[in-house]
Amino acid sequence: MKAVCWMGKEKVSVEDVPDPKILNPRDAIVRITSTAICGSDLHLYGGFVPTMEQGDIVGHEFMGEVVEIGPGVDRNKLKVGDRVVVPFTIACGNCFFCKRQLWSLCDNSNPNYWIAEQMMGYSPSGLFGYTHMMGGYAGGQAQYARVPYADVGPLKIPDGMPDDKVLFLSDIFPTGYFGAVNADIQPGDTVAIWGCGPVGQFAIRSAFMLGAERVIAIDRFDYRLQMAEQGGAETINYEEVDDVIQTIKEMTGNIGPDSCIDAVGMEAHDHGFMYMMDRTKQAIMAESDRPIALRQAIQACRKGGTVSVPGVYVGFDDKIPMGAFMNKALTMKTGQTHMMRFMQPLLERIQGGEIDPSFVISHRVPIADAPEMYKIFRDKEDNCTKVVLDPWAAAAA
Amino acid sequence: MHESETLFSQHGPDGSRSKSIPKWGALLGGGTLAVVGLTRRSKSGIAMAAAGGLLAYAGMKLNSNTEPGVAETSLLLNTSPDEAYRFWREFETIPQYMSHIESVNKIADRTYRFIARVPVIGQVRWDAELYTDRQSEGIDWRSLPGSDVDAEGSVRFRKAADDRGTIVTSTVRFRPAAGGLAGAARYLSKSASFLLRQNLRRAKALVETGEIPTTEGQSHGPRSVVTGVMRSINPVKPARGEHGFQEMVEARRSVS
Repeated sequence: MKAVCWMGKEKVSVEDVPDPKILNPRDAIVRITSTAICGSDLHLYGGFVPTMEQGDIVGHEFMGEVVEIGPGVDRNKLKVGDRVVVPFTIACGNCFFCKRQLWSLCDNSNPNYWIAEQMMGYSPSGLFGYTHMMGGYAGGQAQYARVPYADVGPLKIPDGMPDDKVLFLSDIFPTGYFGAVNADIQPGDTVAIWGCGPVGQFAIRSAFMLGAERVIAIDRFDYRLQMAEQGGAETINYEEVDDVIQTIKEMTGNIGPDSCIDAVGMEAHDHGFMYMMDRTKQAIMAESDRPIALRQAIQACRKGGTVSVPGVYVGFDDKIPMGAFMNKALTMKTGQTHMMRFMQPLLERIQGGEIDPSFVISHRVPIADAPEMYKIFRDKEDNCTKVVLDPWAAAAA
Repeated sequence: MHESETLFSQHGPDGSRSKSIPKWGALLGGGTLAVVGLTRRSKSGIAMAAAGGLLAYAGMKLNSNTEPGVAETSLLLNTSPDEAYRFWREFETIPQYMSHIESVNKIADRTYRFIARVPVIGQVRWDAELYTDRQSEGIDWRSLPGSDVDAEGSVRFRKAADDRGTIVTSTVRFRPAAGGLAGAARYLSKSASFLLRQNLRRAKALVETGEIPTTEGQSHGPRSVVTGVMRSINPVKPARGEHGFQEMVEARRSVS
């Protein structure tokens, strides 16, 4: 089959690899019909996350048809022929954490638990198409994928719903929604959201679903800010204002947003001295992330408010304003998304016509074009917001 | 009930692990500091690494209150002490979840023959006698004379608070046996802590989910020579990655 493989820093290529096999009793094989490139794939592409190996198949947003199931899969929950969206977190369904719906913290799904344990104390769940620290599971930017614990994660999709509408239930829609849930939004609240990439876009719309009255969205690309405005947000282009925090304060009558959502994560951009410091420290490995959005979210948040962090961080960060965090009595909530908690309810919202997630798609290309699209997406060329790959389309001549 | 002298009893008859907590805290904290410090390649980083190293060393010294060379770890299992005991008591199934054990066969009442595989040396045998075996509580075993290595170990099952299941605590120690394979004993002793933790985790997955998570045998693109060699030596322990220090530095420079 064809698969997108990580071949080194800023090198991905489409390779012919063996089709996946059932390796464990509860595995299934899915023939992939649609798959997408995620912003977090760009962290791998840029070489920011350790424990990748040359040849790893990437991709964690995919859906398709079940073509084979192992003998241990509960037939009442999944069978051959089912059309499914596969969540990017892998969960066993049986452990302490899965029993408490904390699916992204599954205690059993990471075969390389010991690597993550060294870095974080304990390991979160395994992930598709990510680093070996997170399990090293082959990903879904391919024609087929092996799905472990197949009777737990995959969500069945009714016939008649096009891939484009449901594909993002695999990660970014639930992740944006989880970001809004974690922001503890009360009816009438004002919410500020850093980052208007796909997760930020879904966080904006989810914040309104959860009762927010005002959403302030922050980014530097006009095309993304326009998309945020279409979702009902007021916007700030941080490259066009002197001080983002001051701007937010003025917009809220100097009380601040009730909740702040960092949908940016480790590769934030900014201008000024602190940004150059982070950039330099990250370059010499003195700091793993550039937590600029997180710092601003803490500073800007109103007293007693909530900071939610769906943005991805991997390591150890400097100059987090703990003084502001403590003295303002803030709450912070974060985590990889507990996917299985949100997939079914969000599918119902799509079915009910509340939202059509396909609005984020800017590019649809054959899988052969994936290497070029990684670069375009990374550099935000061609107004790129979201790239969907067709694993079966012949490459454009 | 009479508690026989066991490896486990060093922690007190109630199984308290009070000594272990500061030990692990110091080891983990110190180890993390050292690793982070070393990756920093700066003066403060070196200072941090040195401080971390000292802390971890202090943690190891704390360990010296317990018997030397004993590896110990514990895990919470989502099952009852009785079920956990019954799972462990099936010694013949051990090779399923202990990656370095090839086979376990019953050779006499309460005596089992273990065949392990050790890199370079190959097969290593010890005959283990169960000298404590209490339903739902625990098992102690030690090797009989004539084994390739002198081995002993224990497992205990304790009901966790709040009905969360069972805390399984396992210990093992390997020492050279008279007329045995000294190299194998050295290897097993050195690896005991890592192997014990890995194997307990695999056992937990098997008990809780019916299978052991794996990526062995999955598809991938062309590996580099380095990864290929490292994978062929040990398929379950991945290489640290192509993604060495130099490469990460370059990646960051190129985007800076």
